[in-house]
Amino acid sequence: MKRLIYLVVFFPLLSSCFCDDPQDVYLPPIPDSILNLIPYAKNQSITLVHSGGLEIQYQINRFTEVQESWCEFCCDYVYHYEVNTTQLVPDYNLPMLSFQLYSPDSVFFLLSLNTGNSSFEIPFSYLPENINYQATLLDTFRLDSISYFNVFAIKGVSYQFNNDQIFFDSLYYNYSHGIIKLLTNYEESYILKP
Amino acid sequence: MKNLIFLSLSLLMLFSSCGDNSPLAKEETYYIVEDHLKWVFPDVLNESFFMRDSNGITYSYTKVIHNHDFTDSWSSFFGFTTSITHTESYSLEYRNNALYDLNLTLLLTAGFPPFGDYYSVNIGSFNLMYDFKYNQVFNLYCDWGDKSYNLTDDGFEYQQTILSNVTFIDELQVYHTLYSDIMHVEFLDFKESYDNNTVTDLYFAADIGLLKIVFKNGVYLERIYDPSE
Repeated sequence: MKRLIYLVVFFPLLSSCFCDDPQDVYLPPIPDSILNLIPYAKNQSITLVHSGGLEIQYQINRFTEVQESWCEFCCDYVYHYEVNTTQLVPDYNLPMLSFQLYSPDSVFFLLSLNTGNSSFEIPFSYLPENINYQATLLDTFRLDSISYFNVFAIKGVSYQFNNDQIFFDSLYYNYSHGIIKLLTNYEESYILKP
Repeated sequence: MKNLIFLSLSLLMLFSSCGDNSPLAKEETYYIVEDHLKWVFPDVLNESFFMRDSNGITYSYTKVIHNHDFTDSWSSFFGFTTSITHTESYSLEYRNNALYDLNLTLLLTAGFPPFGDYYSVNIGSFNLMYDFKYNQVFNLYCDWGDKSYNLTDDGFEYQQTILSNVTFIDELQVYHTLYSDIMHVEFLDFKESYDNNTVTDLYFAADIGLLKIVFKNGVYLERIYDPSE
């Protein structure tokens, strides 16, 4: 009787220690139509002009890696998916601008820009259901004498200790020009040099 | 004979079981000299101050650590604690909003004879330690090598030359404001390895904090009070 009790109590515990190997699922590569949402190529460079007049040249590095989904314990599936990274490396003592593009399910894509203590989530299409509450689509955005079309105005998220700390709080971005304008919470700006 | 052995073992067990409270232990506390406390800056935890560089780009620094501790250390002889020392220290850490390389850590520690209180400055590629009594840098750790003076009972033993130094100046003008009682930290070792963004100079004002950072390429950051100017 005691043995039966031990079996009933311990068997579920023991059985949970033995998991089947998860099944590998390889998601398709990121299609070119999505990759082109970031209009930068490796070894290209762009220039952003600070509101104080300084011109900062950014050298572009772009690459794709395959990553796996995290499995803590006994997962049915492990997903292998591409992550495309675009790094804009400044020639001045400023943080790098880094885009990450990937899809956890090959249906919805996540496109983000990270810099210093700020990050922006960029919509991956013009469809309203893919534009979150932090982004607004502008038909036309005029900067000095230049008009840009279909521009996302995006509010940033900051990892900060207080409300005084400087961070990038606004990004103006479109799929044809990339970063058009970056604005800090103290209204210092970095504008794309045409 | 048996009684002697029993007594010795009993005493051994008694004193070794006392640990930190051994009755034989000499206890000492080293406090920081009051005049040196002006280099423990009073800005509030999680509040920011601002610096603007020579090209008009503004950064913020936020104090994230401000600790005041007494560190304990022990000496022992055959398992008996013979001395216990309590050493006062203050540690401060400031985070730059954009550049992790410009995070600043400061540590002020009480000195023990024959040495004085020492100040540790850690930024970018450098960690420098300065002794207030001997008025010299005695340790320098950086990305390209280390230099240090040995600590002996008679003071520092100079086996190599540390060029980096700490000096004190009466006044410094920083972005329209005149500050007094300035500490100037200058990094001079391994200069041939520096790149344009290597920090070469730091300036601190007593009772206020970081005032200015200078880089190898001549660009500098200066403390400002109103970032919306």
